Amino acid sequence: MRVVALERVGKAFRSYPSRWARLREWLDPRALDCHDKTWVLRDVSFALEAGEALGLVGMNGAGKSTLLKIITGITQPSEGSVQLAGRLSALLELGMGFHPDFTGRQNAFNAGQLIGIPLARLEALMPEIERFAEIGEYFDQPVRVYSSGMQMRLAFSVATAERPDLLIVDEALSVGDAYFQHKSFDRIRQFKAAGTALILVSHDRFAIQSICDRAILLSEGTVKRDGDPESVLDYYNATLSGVDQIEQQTDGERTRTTSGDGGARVTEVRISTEKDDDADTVETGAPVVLALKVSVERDLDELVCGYAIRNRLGQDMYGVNTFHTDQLTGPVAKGTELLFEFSFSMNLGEGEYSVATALAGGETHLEGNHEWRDLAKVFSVVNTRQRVFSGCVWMEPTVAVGRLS
Amino acid sequence: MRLSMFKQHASAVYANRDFIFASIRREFELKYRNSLLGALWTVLNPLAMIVIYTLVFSKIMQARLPGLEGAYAYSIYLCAGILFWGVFSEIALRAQGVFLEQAHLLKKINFPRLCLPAIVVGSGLINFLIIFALFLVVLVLVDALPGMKLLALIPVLGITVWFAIALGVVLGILNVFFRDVGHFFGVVLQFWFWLTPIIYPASILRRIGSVTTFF
Repeated sequence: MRVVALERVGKAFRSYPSRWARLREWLDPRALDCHDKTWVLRDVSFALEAGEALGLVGMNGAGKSTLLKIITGITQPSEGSVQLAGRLSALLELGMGFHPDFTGRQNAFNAGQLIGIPLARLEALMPEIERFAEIGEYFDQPVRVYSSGMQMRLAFSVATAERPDLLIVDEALSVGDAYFQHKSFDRIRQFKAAGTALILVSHDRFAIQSICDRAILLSEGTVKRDGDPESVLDYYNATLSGVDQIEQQTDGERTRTTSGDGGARVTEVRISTEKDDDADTVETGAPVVLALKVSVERDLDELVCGYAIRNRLGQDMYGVNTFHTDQLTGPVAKGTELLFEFSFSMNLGEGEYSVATALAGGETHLEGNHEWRDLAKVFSVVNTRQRVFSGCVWMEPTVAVGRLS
Repeated sequence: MRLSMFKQHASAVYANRDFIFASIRREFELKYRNSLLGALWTVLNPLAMIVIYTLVFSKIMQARLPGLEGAYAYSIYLCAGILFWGVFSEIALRAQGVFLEQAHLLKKINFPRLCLPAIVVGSGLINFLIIFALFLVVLVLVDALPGMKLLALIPVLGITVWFAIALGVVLGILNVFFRDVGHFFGVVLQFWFWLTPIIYPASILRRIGSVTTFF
């Protein structure tokens, strides 16, 4: 079932040079255009099916919040149309218009009725709202004494008291502590499994990759990328470094993103173990050498080479570069071939990992980015030699057991 | 077409009646929270006004209604006017500011916008009914109950409220774009009050002749 469909949605705000100009436009039929139009959204089209989760990313001012306001019906689009089937619940920014002088319970009633839950139903849901928010006796105290995290807990509990057909969450969850974030994502996952479509705005890569099936990158009010979260986020990260040259190649189901000014290139990435010169599978704890072959395309004063090992969700397991190891290379002349070898033990748990490589002029990839290559190498870690354990990191303990009585 | 739109809005208000009632209750709670006398203030304010006008006009300035000699005649006339002026100006003023006041809700949650004026009308009417009930008690005490004529109040009240909310909402929308509207309306209301035969009998206006009658 299609829950929401946007058709070439655009939004323009009018700006008047002065207050009098607005008055003139209203009163004088000849003065039709006393304003300038600023388009903050243009030509945005997408549709979501039941159970589909969409991550919305983009820099500040890209139009994310305006788009959400249009979908929720708070603002009308200047052009295009939005079709919505079913009940919508939205958690925009902080709070839900809570009144500081009323208690959490009164505000929960107020907000619940505002989003269209009948009073009788709300009374039945109230114990669950109170239980889920877990703010204890604060629930019956005025909201003005709440911390922002507590307000968010209350707002989330009310907004998700009943499973909506479309749930919109705008960065609000980032205010919550790790415990509540985890709890809210669990609830969101349950809703999703039961058929709720989700639109999530977040700057947290992990949040989007762990929950969304799809991501959209908004840039200057238009859809720049629409695809699987990993490739869209990689692309977004690449745009953050402010370079225009971004390439994406798709092979199989994953998309590799490469960006940079091309001052230097990684031409080969190999992981070698004792047995295998170019391994795709590594044993937990095995000593390995990560070898990066780099070709310099331009005369460079300084070159920093770095890598990051990431898990399936794109979280960095470990990353370092030659700036941090005090091994700056340079100056290097055009045409030089370099080999960087990083030796370490693969102290990771079982799973699939990827290597991202970076060649830069300085400490971070934002300053003089020559090349940033996501998913430069994909490999698996298996555990057949060590004791069975869970998690991403191998940190084997010695265990001592003593009897105290 | 017009009628179906009206029906649609009316049913949206009806569907949200719980919310509207709860909001009106909250509004009263909020108004009298942290005050010792609480709801008594609803009565004390207009009472003070009536006492002052009665003292000033009927005792100090010796104002009399032509043709009526009862001791309370002027006070009753004054109350009737002030009570109605009260409900009119309260609703119009509140409606004129309600969109700015509730901006935090309007920007965050999509709910039937018609709830806002409905809340204004509801709380205005309740304030009126509280004072009017008191007024009726006084009328009974001084043995001046007009009897069946009271029924005529219902359509009059209806028209007054309808006019007030319509005017208030129109001004309220303009006020969002030009704050001047709010300030200006405050001034206009002052003139309007004194141009309306509330303190003085309507016959004075006819005597002056050149002044436009508002009632």
